[in-house]
Amino acid sequence: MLTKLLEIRNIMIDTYRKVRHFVNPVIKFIIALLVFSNINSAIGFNPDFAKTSIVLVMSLVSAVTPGGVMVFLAMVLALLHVYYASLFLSIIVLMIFIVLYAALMRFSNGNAIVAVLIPLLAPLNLHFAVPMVLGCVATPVSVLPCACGVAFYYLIDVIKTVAGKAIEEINLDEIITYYKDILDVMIGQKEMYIVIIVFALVIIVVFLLRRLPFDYSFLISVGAGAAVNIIGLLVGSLKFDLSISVGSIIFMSIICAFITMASDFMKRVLDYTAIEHVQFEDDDFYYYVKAVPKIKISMTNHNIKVLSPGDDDVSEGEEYPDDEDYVSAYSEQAPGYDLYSDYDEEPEPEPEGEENLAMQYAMSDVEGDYEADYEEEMTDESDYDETGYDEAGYDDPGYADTGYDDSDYDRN
Amino acid sequence: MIDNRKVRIMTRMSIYEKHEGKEDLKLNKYFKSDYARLQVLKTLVSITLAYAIVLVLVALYQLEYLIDNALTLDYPELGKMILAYYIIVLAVYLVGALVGYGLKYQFSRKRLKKYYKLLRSLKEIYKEEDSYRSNM
Repeated sequence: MLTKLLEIRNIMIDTYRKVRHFVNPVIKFIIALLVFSNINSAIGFNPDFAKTSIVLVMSLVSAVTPGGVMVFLAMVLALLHVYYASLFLSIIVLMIFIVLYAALMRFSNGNAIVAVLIPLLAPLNLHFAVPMVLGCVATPVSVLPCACGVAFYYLIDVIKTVAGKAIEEINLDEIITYYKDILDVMIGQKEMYIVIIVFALVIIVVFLLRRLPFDYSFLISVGAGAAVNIIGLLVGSLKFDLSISVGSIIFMSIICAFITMASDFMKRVLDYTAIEHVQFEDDDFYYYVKAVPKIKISMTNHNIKVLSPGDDDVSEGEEYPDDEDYVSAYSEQAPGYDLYSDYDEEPEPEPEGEENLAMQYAMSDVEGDYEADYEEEMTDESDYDETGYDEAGYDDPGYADTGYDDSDYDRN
Repeated sequence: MIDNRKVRIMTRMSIYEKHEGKEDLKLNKYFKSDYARLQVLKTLVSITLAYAIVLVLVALYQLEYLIDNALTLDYPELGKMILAYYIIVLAVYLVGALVGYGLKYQFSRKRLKKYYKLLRSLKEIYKEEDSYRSNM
């Protein structure tokens, strides 16, 4: 069972490593596509901008640019639709957008995408996962973009309700009354304030508990985040009439806690196993280097040993077929991205030029050196560090003495 | 002749430069106080803009009341209230920005220290090479 799980994980990591360069843009493209089509279906007043071709072009642009660009394009699209419905309403929405950007989005610090993820996930109530994930991976400053995302979601709701009136002719005298109506609807969104406050609390609770130095602090922090989410929203729904039902608050919070745990695990595993391609140069050469983190588990080479009491001999499940594989299974490396983590440097020769020969020579030279490195690692167990997967650590010299390969078990 | 040690160090440095390093090396152009001051200044501008827009929105909302009571309004009192709220909001944001950007700078320095350590060991290797060449 354990080995099966490890193999499944290994297959996932391997596949991701191979397709990593395509996966991230594809995921962003899909998110962008969903965001823009959601905006079009909710407030798509202008049929010209609701065209599939425009949505596709904007999604493509968002796929290859930072998250902030997607948010900006979503704002522009929403604004263009509102402008088509009513000039006056679009001015108000523009002003609100500027305020939201200047006071909240500006501090997103690379997490701008949450501002569009929350409105996207909110209809399914899956947006509860967003503050929990932010608490795990970001700082409490992410409260601000998170609040911005919630504001966007309810703002679109408001535009939907008030824009119907806007399409009709409005006299100048009526504009003030109309404007008051709009702001009344916006100010009257009690649910928005409750959700913003609860999400902020969830982020802070998860962030603080996550960093406490005790075992299972990660699980406890996510659990506490889910609890704060449930209690906060339930209290909110007792005081005010929320559109989210009590059942879905509880059920979806628990589901979102599991999603958070899964995404955190995937993030840690996938981020630190990614193959790096870097280029640099010195006085003599250009280097094109592919750096492969050493965390590969050989598919069939798990050294399972059955230890029975009173039996000094160790019966082995499977032997390592050869030294090289043994080494690769043994030398699993700490996943934390660190300047000092050992990368398996593999200089690739430049395809053209005089240096080609020299590089090829260097490559074989480097490979020869790896063996020496592996050997060093094998003998130096004290330096072996499995942080990142198991924070509690597992250090039993008894196992080490018998040559028991605990690295696979350490992770789980 | 390619030196493996150099390739290793340069690869690590280059991976760092590709990720966190990009931002860290940008921050490195400033002293901590200069960086924090610049960010606080940017925050001041953006918050002032946001506050001004909110004021306009509120004024439009209360336009009827403002026009009706244009002559009887206590303008100095109103100005004081607007200023007081502005100062409170600004203080919260500026203190937040000062602490937040200060911490960001500190963390980037920590990572840069490791980078410089690598840089130093690279320098050592170059020194070794030079002395080797001069002895030949």
